[in-house]
Amino acid sequence: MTRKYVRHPSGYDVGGNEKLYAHMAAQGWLLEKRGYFLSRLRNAAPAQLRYRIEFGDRTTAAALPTEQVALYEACGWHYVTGTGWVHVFSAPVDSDAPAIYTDPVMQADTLKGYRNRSSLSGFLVTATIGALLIFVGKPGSGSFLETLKSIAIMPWITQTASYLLFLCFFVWALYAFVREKVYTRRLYRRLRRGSSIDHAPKSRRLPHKIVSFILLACCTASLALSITQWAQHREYDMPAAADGPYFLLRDLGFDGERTTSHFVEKSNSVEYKRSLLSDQWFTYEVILDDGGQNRWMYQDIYILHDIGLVEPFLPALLQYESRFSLSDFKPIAIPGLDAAYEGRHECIAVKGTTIYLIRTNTQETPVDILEQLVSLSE
Amino acid sequence: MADKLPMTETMYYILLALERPEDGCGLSQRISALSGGRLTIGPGTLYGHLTRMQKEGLVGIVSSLRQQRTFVLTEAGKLALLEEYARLKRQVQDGASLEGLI
Repeated sequence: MTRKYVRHPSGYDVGGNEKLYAHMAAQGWLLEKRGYFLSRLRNAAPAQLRYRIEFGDRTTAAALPTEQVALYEACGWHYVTGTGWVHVFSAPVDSDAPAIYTDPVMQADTLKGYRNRSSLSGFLVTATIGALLIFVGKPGSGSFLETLKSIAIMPWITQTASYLLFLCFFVWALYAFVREKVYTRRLYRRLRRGSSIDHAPKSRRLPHKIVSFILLACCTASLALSITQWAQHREYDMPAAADGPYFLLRDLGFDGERTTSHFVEKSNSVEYKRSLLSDQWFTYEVILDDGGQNRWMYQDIYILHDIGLVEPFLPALLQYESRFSLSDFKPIAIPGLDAAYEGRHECIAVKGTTIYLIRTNTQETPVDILEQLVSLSE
Repeated sequence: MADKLPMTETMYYILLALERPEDGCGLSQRISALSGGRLTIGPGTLYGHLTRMQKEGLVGIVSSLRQQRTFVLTEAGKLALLEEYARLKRQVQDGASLEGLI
């Protein structure tokens, strides 16, 4: 093996990085390239080297000015690699190359750009929040708290593993972001007080390693569950006879030949998804009835895995759906259903752990549709 | 320059070493020689000070060969150096009574 990759500490752990690279060089692995998370090392003869971290210049967008590199190299330091704000120099231990910084206060100034940059982890935190909001879509028409609740509950029940993955990743990114801010500030203050960097610190990072390991394990497990969840997704043409808990237009008394919608680029279809907490069916059917009219029906059916999930899920669904219809769902009483709601063009029914959301243009009233639903589901 | 803060030792020696033009690493060696080995300035510290001094107009660049720049004192830099030297000399003179005690 001529090359290998090692996980390096974050940029603010200056001493930790320098110690790692010196240790690896003594074992015959010289730093070749430093990435954001991993460093690539190449196999070579063991060498006693000093490594020093230098932070980029904010006036040159984190790169080191060429004259600065030239000055360091003229003084015996060799530029090895650099990514983002972190650059690495090396010199043999027994060389005459002087310490790069003899004034800790001057070195503190080099941290300013690194401190104030938009850190990668900060970006990930923001991107994760943004993805969560896009994931669910715009807030509904209710109060902010209701909207927040629906944003949290809907994906939790319908895409549990993916939601878990986002949460784990968010927590991990937030932890990394906070830790980076705290430790960079601490390093800056230490240098401003005149204390030099310890280039071979004792390893006191066990709590951090434990926390990182736990978060990584959670992310990995969530990813595996997400892949499993995704693998169970199916989408296919609607069969002649229902193969799931949905019903067909002819069950409502509308016969006709199946056709394609003129307005929506969609043909009769069934989509099935499964999460850790629910099974979901999404169907679309459109027929040309005997009168030459297009009759269509959308059904969203949620079969929750626990009766206790109905109470939090139902308001979230009502809130979520109100963004599309802008109608208020009014509760109605239908014998045989645990709960029922009518909107302008849709209705919602709850029976046990199954929740039905039906939209149709058949001009049947929601009460008629739901009464037929009761008789069909018995 | 009465309203300006006194120069740091590092800045003083950098200006002193630039009595004749010098490049970065040569400057570091000259400073060490001038101070009798007492003062060692690393390239990072030196670069930071030179950059700041350039912005303040105390130091200029006389040539740039393969990214290695040769620095020189500007007129403002010479004046600042002389003023600092005079200040330090006054301070030593003020402490003349200590002479027999060393």
